[in-house]
Amino acid sequence: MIQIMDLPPGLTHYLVVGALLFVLGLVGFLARRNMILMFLNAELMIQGVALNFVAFARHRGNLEGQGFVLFLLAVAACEAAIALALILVLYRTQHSLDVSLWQNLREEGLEPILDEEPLPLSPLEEKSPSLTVAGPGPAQPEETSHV
Amino acid sequence: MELFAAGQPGLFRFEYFFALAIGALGIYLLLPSPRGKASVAGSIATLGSLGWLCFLGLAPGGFTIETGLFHLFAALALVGAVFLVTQTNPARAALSFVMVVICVGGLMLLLAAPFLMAANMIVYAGAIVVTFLFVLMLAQQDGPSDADNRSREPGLACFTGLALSASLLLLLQRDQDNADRGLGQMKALNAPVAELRLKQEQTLRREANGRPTAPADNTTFLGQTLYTTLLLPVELAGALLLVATAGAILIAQRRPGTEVTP
Repeated sequence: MIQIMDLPPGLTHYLVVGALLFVLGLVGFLARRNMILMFLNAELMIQGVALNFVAFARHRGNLEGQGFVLFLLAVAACEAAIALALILVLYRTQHSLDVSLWQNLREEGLEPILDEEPLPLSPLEEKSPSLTVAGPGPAQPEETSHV
Repeated sequence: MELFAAGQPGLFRFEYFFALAIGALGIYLLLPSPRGKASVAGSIATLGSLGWLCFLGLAPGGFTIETGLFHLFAALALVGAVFLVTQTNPARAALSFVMVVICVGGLMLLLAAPFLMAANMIVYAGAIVVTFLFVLMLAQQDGPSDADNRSREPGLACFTGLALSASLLLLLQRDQDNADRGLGQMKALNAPVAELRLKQEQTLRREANGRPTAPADNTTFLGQTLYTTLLLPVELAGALLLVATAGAILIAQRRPGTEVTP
């Protein structure tokens, strides 16, 4: 049998990198609450899939996998357009990108998830400078000796 | 070919699982939380897991420029992905996604796909991320917000990621074990498939190191493939783009009565 790709990095190396990119995108999509970041994480998953396609195209010695990545790009562009339009509509009604504000769309009978812990204070928050109060000045200690 | 060569065939190599588990723990620590994230411990765990995976991926074949570039691009892409998942500042996260795109472009170059490298970078880094950055900056709020400084079920999300990545690695490893055992066993199981594969492999022209040759003129051959084998999908993709444009305009229209003043 002819050994396919006997030198590293072989097909499996690229497949593992693609799988890890996909999994990281999945974790980000599940865990983040900013709608724009959720969509960026979906794009990260698409990158992992694209890497898989290109690796298989190289492995098989034809260009159909690479052609499919072009379709992936077209679908990603459509997805970005629709996603931005949806985010715009949602932002207009709630004035926040937080996806948890839309949890009233949840299934019947599920408890709402409430945020109990308070957010940390902004580190940029500073006391504004204040002037001393105008008026008669504070009493100065009088000198004891008048020479 | 040597990625999973270290152990017994058919057995799951537990060092991969441990590396993945440490990485999942690191990302759990790094995900934003109102208590503040454990940046130092999380970074050490994530980087350690990544380094371990890179070390496991190093084959005994020795160092070549291709191996070095592959590990460089793969590690940078994964670091950028971790940044994208864990950054609290969304603008920085978008820029780290650009880093992922550039590194994936490098990997595509290593796989003899220069046209796709350029197209990927132009479409993602040039168009999609810039548009997202515009929207981000229009919608940006000052200080910590619910959207950026809280995570939704970080523990469950990391566990899902660990389960998925471990099962994917297990599948890849099984597949490789089967490939290593050669066509003989496969023939016993499924004769037509094995014959087809053998025929395919004999017709491929190969380079000195056993890889199939890729056409030197990538763009020309890609265009030929697109407009011969993949003609119908090209037309469908054009129709899809048209429908998406119309849909985006329709969705984003202002409708009276839906807006709420803050």
